[in-house]
Amino acid sequence: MALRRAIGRAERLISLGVLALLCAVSVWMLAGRARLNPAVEVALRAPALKAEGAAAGASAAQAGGGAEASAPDGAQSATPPGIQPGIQPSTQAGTLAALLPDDVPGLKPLARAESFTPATLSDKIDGKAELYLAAGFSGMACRAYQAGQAGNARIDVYLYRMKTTDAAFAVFSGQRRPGAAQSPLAKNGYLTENALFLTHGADYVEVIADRAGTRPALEALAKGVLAGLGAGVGDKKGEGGQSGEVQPGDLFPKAGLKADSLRLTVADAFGFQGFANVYTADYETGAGSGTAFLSRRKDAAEARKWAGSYQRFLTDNGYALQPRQNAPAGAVVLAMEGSVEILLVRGNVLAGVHDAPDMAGALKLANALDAALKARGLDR
Amino acid sequence: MAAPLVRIVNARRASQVFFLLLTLWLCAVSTLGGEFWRLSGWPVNFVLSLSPLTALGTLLSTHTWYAPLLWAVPVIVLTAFLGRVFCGFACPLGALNQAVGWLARRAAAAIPGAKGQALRERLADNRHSPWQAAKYYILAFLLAAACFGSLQSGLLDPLPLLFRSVNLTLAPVADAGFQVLFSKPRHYASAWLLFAVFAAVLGLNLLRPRFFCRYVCPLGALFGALNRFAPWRVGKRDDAQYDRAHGDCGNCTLCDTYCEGACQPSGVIKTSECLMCMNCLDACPQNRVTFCGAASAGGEEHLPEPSRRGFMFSLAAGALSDPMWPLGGLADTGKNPLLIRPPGSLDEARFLSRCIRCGQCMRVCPTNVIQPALGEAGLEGLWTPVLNFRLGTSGCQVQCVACGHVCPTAAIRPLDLAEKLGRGPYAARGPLRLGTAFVDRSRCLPWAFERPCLVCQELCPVSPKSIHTRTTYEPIRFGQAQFVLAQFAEKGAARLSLSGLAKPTANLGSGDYSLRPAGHAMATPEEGLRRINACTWAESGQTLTLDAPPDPRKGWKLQPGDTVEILVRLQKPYVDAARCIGCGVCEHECPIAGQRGIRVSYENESRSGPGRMLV
Amino acid sequence: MSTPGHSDHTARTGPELTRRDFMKRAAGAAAIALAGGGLATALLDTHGPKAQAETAAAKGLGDFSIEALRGKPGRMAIVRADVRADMNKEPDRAAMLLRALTALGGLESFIKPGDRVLLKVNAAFATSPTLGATTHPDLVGAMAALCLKAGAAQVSVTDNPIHSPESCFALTGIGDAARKAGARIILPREDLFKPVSVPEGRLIRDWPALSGALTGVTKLVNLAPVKDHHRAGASMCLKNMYGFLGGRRNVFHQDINGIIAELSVLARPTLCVLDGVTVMMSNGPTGGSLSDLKAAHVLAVSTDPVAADAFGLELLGRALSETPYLALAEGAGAGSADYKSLDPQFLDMGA
Repeated sequence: MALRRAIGRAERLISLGVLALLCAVSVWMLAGRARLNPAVEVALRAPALKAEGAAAGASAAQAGGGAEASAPDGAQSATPPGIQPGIQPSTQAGTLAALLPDDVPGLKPLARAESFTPATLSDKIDGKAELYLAAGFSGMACRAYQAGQAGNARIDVYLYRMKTTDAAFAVFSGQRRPGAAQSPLAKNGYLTENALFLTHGADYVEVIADRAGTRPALEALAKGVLAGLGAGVGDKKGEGGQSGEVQPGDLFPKAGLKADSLRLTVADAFGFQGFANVYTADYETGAGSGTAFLSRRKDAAEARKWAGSYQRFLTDNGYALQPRQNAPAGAVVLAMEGSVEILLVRGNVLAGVHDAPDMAGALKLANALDAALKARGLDR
Repeated sequence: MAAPLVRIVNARRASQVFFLLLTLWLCAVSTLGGEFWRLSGWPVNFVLSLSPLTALGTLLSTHTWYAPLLWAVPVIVLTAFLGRVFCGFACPLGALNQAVGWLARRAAAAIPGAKGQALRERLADNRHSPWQAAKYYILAFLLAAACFGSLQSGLLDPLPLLFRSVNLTLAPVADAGFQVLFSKPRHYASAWLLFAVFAAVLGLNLLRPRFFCRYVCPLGALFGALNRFAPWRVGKRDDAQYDRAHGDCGNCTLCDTYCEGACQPSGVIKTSECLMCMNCLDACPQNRVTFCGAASAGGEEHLPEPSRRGFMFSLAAGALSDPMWPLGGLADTGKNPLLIRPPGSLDEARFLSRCIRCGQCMRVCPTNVIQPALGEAGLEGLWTPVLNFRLGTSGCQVQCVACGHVCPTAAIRPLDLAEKLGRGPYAARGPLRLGTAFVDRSRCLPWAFERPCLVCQELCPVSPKSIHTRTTYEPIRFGQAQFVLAQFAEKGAARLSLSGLAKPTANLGSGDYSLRPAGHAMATPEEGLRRINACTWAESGQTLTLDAPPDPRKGWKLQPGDTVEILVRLQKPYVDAARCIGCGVCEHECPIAGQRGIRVSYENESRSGPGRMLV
Repeated sequence: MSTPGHSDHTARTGPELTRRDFMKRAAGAAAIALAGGGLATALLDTHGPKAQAETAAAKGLGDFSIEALRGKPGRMAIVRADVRADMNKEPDRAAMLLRALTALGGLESFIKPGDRVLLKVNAAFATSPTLGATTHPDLVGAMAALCLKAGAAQVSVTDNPIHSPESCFALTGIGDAARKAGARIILPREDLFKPVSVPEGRLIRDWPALSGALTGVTKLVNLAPVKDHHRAGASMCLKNMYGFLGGRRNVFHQDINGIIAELSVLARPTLCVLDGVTVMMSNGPTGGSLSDLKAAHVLAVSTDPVAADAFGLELLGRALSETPYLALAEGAGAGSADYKSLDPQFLDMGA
């Protein structure tokens, strides 16, 4: 269009004004871009980094599968149902996940750490969760790693934070595999062909590889985890619940003690409902093996009460009281066909012999136990 | 002398190009991701929320003004004071229409010797037509329907129309070509119909410039109603004192020739039709057409055509149409079982009062399962989103909440993940359910075809899985044979030679097949079934390698000639309806490709009462 | 110069006129702008729609029991017609009803002048009254007449049947009987259903119920036959309340005892009349054959629907343990399952 008209100032100004408005809109658009759409945030936080990026974009949400991992930065805002009040398992679990290291020489994490609470533990370990829940479980974090030098073996680390040191020992000893080698990394620690198990304070750690012969990698990983744990809760490994007192496990006589047989049963020991926190250790007696047990109670009165209850339980189940000759002072001896039980109370400790095959061996063990307790200042 | 650059028509052109490119860009980035060229934080609904028709429509149907639609208020204010500036400067579909029309006429004018003829035709095309009243009737119909809860404005509102067409027809074609945004080409049901409508809208510009804008656009009609009192408007200045004029108006009708709105600026200007394209202002050789605060010297007319009767009729039609929709029994019990809506959708009545069929949810869905409905939601729900799990790359992903966060009117609510998964404060309510999966026992492989499968159970994403199984061992067809002799190795395998076994159609050594003496009741490995590890077949004789020697104590006492039979271990899927969330992954992955062996339908969906299946 | 035509403004464009015109238009434009802005502000919705549409669900359908009797054991009268008198003749239900009511102090002690009474009948199926699947029309007619005689301002009859309502009320004879006695039938129209919740109920929450039939009603009388029921065990007074529910109510059959327990507190009747003259012993609730029926010739009237049902169970030859809903209803406070504790009056129709 041929144009001979003059462009007025107003028109020029308005035209420029329109262009300025367009610029403003563009700027606003670009600025708005920085604040991520909530859907994108959710998509980017989706669990499991898949190694290769599909053309669809690694950031696109993956098909949901398996366990839902809670965000390790504690993004969960409310406690899941079924949790006892007073515990914040999400933050607990969140900080646990942070303890699983990113940088261990020779090892590469395969995914982010996953966290589990008492309510969700069975999602990961299925029926075995019962064992942990019964003992007193706070939270678990686990992570998969790949060991470069061990032929790209996959190693999983499980860090169980229990409620007490005893609880950690209970789940450790309850699952101990026979004939394993002692691990130098912890007082309570053992190695099998493909795995390493240990406790540290109230934590129980499992480092499990998918093949044998990966010991250096297992130990490196365990050290990495321990480094994170060591700085925090109780650096004295295997610290007892009350500082200064002897660990119940140490009260057992050493002679004839079968290695690695020390166990803590947290609840319902020997089938007697309510009989909690009982340590057992197996011994070679003359005719076979017998089990010595002891349980530290609150005070002497409670120890005597439990002795009485357990005795009633035994007599209800067919055990008969025996004459006490050669038994330690104040001990109660009960026997049934092929099984001898001896109970004695020393201070606030209820101790004795459980299920010994013959009387002579049982009495010998009971006396050795009595002597060990007396040596520790526990008598009558 | 070269034409100056800074003039209003150029500003208008720049603005139109800007909004059109912005629209295309916002459509392009509507894919889930954090990169610059993906969704990240782009306000993808900005252009859609500018439409006062969407705002007014949802206002009438929901009695609320949804906050993101507040952008319509400045547009209304601008229109009230300045006229239909949105149509001229902003509307991207208007820009497209104008471009197509301009190109076509430019091409016609470029033919040697045809310029004069072309210009005369153009002038004729721009004569104001009484048919331009049609858009006001359409507007009346839509507003009346909205009053009664049925929001149909999205079908013809140019912004949702353009977004829908780009999202569902143009963008997938572009994606497929460049393979940038999606690894697999996107499919949209009835894409051909959507494209046909879009092509028609653009094609009609060859008949008349900005055909859609003049005759059909309900948004334009709304603007035409709103600009009634605009103090500043386009018109002729005729007074002698107007010093910028070069001369008197000579009725050259150049202004009419280039008018986009057919508003007749040379004569009595139809102010409701003026699209503010500013072409007349730019074309007038006497500089008499201006934009100013005074009446046009040739006279003005607002809304010349719409007859009161016609208007009432449209209103009534719109209002009465509403009771007609439910007659099809669609809203409640007669609902199509395949009417599965995206997660976060409102119940059907409220959904249809909000959905503007913009296609944003369909574009952003990472698995491409949200499809435009054709029949599933009835005519009232044409092109509203429904889930089709046979299409797309997977089911509705459990960890994704994209669709609700791009819906401009909250027909699909923006969910947070806790609500979708039923966690935290939503734990009592449980996860959001889209429907329930039903195993079709006449089509499922283990149920009907004695073939092991279980893909559905494997991929069920909830924990505990809603698909669970019961294991049975069943004799296969043609699975009987005669025992010939046995060879037992020292430790482990046992080999049996058989005769008379029909040529197997499945891999008997796959680990799913077991052997037992025929007629025996053995139903599990514990009872004595022996698993077949390998099978070699020849017409003359067959050899089966078992996992262990058969146990005579469990009934294996074979003499040559005795019959043995092969059983297959089948894990048959069952759906736990109380746990199924209707995500459709099972249906998508089921290997029965045509009509799937497990299919989702809307029963038990969280969003509505009538769908309730379990108590 | 073009002609002005229909124009808002003439060609005269003096400066004052232009300015006045401009101001008028500016005002108009401002009005539109303000209207838009005002609507937006007034109706602004920043939170978006809620997951479930807001429904103001009513709490239950009402307690129509006699105030003076609440908290005390219910009253019950059981009338038996003389079986020997004439085996082939159907006992006179109207007479039995009158006898029972008289023993309880007359209908006047329940229905006062001016009351608006609703008779909740069982008209679930479009079958003949001889098949015993629905409330007998004689009983409906008698009750309606007695109510009107006691001074009721209006008597209505209603149910939300399973078959088509018009056919049901016609074929069962209830429609005719009601109209002859001066009562009106309330058909279950769509607009009479409103969302209702049973307080502390788990199943009836925001569920459509026939509350429209109860507007203005002051007394509710429950008239039910004694029937076997394959799913629930028995269908008598308490199950009769299912006929107040709308929507796709069959979903509640998944927890049949739970729903009957909630129905027992959904609406509490003034009186229950349990018709055991002909009992459907098997193949309930539809029956369909005369061989399903047994003549027990008993009619019970009670203010306690749970007690009435407990008595009805004996007619069916069932034990309380076979129908868990009775214990649940008792637990919900709807009445007592030990009907004998009500000290019912046993009456014979005489020689």
